[in-house]
Amino acid sequence: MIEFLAGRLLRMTVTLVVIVSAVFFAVRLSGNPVDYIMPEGLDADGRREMIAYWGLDRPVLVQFELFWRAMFEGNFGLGLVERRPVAEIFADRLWQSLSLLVATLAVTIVVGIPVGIFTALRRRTAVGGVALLAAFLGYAVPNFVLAILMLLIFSYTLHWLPSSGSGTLLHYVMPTIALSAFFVAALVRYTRNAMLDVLSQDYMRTARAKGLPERVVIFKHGLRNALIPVITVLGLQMTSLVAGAIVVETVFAWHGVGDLLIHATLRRDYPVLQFGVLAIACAVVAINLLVDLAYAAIDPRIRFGRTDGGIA
Amino acid sequence: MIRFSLPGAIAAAVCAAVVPAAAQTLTVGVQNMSPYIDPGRDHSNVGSQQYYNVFDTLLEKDHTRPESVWKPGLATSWKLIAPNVMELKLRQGVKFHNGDPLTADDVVFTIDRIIHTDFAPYLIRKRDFVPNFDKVEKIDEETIRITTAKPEPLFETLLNIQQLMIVPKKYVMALTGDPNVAEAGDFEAFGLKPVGTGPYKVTEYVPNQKLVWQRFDGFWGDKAPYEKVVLTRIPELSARITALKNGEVDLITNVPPDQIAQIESDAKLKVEGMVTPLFHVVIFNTQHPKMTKDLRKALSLAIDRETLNQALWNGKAVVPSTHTYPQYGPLYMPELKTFRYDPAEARKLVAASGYDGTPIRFDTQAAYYTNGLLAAQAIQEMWAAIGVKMQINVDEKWSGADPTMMSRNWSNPMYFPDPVGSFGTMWAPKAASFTEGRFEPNEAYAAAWERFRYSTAVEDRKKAYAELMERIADDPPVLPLYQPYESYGMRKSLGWKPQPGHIPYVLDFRAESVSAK
Repeated sequence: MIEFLAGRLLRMTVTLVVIVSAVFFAVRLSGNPVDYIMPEGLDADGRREMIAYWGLDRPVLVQFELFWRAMFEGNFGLGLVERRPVAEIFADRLWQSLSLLVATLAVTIVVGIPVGIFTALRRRTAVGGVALLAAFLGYAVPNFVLAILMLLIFSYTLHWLPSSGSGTLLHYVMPTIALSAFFVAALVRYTRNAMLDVLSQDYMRTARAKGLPERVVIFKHGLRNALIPVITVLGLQMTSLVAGAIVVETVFAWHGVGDLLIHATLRRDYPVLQFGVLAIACAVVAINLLVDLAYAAIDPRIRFGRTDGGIA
Repeated sequence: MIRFSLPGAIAAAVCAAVVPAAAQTLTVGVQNMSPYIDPGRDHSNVGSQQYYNVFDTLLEKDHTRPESVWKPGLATSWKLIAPNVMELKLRQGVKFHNGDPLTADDVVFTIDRIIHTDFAPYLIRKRDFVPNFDKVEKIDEETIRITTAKPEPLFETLLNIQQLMIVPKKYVMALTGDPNVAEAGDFEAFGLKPVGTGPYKVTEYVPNQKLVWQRFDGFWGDKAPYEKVVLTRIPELSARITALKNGEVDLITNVPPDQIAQIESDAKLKVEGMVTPLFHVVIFNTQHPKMTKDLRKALSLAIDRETLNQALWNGKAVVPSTHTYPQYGPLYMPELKTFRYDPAEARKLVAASGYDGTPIRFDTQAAYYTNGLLAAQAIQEMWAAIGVKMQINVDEKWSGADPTMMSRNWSNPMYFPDPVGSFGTMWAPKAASFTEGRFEPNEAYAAAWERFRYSTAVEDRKKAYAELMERIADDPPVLPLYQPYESYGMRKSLGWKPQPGHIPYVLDFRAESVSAK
């Protein structure tokens, strides 16, 4: 197990170094921030002065070296637009985004898995069909369309829910639904398929044959086995949740990390982008590790057998 | 959708309790918010929203009128004691939000930090706004003296600009590092924790997200009408309008003309608006080999700006005959007719120019200017009508310094009420357009500019400005399209509207500008 973890951590570190370095050069190829941050009539001297003020007048390799040195001291630089440490800029926003992601994850699991099981068990009934149809709809409708539709109904027309910003529990309702609809739908389908596979296995028949109650058959023997692929998929989907959050945060004026990254990209705010990509890369790598660990916890063959983690 | 309606009843009940009902708090949904609050370094349209409530200038003006009528501000009197020296008496008993009294040292520090600086963002502002300011001295505790290199016809105007709003010396210097030295770090830190002398103090500020103004009880003038004003950024138009209709905010900014009717259809809401002292313009790269003088003239004459106004602004914008606004005061010259629509003349000029059919690239951002892309598409048709092909290039990047740029849109705001503060910021002989290499004014133009900028007699300035306008029309680097009409949606009971005496976009919630809460 320790060997397994050590191998994973080494790979994580290499991945992060490569990603951060690639981003460092890629953002610098995408344009000079002075052209995006100050579009209104900056003269040529001013242009030079601003570039020097940001420290971007030095050769790129020198900047690269300084960047890594500073990183090792835990200094990620000042934002070019907001002149304060990027870690602080993110800290202001992180809680907003994390709380939304956690709410989304909770809704996804609490709704997705039971409905998945339900549709698998009630495969040939009208109720199961309707649930499955709803899941397909959730899968097909883009989150921003759903978001605007909800705004129209629940804020604009009915005045039931606040349309923008954050602060109260009610503010979470629409963003969470908009963000989780797709993932709930995905999870319903994966859980359903996994359950259907499991239900036709011999050991299920054995479990029933030895007289276990149906509840135990389904949850202990069925669900536990069905969960392995479901967790893998959930882990992979969570990484695309970040992309979804960018759109949903914009629509609901939810001042989170997604909204911050959109603006940093439009303005080529290098330090913010670098830190943002590093943070997201860390999150993705950590989620993958968690998936691997969960996988190992559920499946003894992985825990005791192969050490490279294999599937995820 | 079934699962959404279930929490509805509970939601409605709780939400009613959440929506702010206190009349003492005004909540404003803004499209954008500035990343820092420092009047000295900021000159953006977004930034100008947020200074007037917090800071004061030495000279005040009557904001209900477009032309400049000066009033005492932090200075109670001022007089020229030599053609290039102004002496001012400071108001006594004024307090900053942190409790420090306003002193002559604060005023000297404020101006000095801009005119004698190596802090890049201030250096840029110095060149834009006060290149002629040479020296500022404290004579005694109540008196300061400002000296300019040449006699300054715009002395009063410049002492009223946002960039010279007064900040507290001791407070700024103590923010970081050595408390006796003004360092770059101090200026950066001030932008996040601003302190002024205005009727509201900043009590909460999260850059780009939220700004809270609280009434400052120690204000020297009339008490602020609101206990608290909350600015919150709602970037999406539909979300802003929904927040207004839903009662979450009392006022929203940046309402485009096609949404006015929709807001007004709600009995509880209304729209207030104003033609803004700002031009949306088309600029040409006069140094591009394909952009000959005749072709540029033709492209300018081919644009039917009145049709653009009717189609895009419901006729509410103002199409100028020359680069002028009522805010220019004595230099407001609507009688000058230097920009017009004449497709027949344009066709002749295209023929004379030897235009070879090369598509003319027109750069525009996707959504930066209201109606910007739509206007570009309409102009494309207008140019096609005189036989010139336009290729629209949508890019977020500022291409003004790019030698391959041929034409693009831009905006020319009024930073202070004089042609120098609007036309001049872009088209003075050494201004941005020249240093970016797309405008090469000749000596005659530069001489006319000097006469216009520094003549002390208004008549001489008017004559020289008229000459500059003729020269611009004859060899055009720019065509002002229109002054946009800026609208704000709000609760019907709110007695607020934008004032013509401000620079564009100022959100003024001082006592004299709010008639009902």
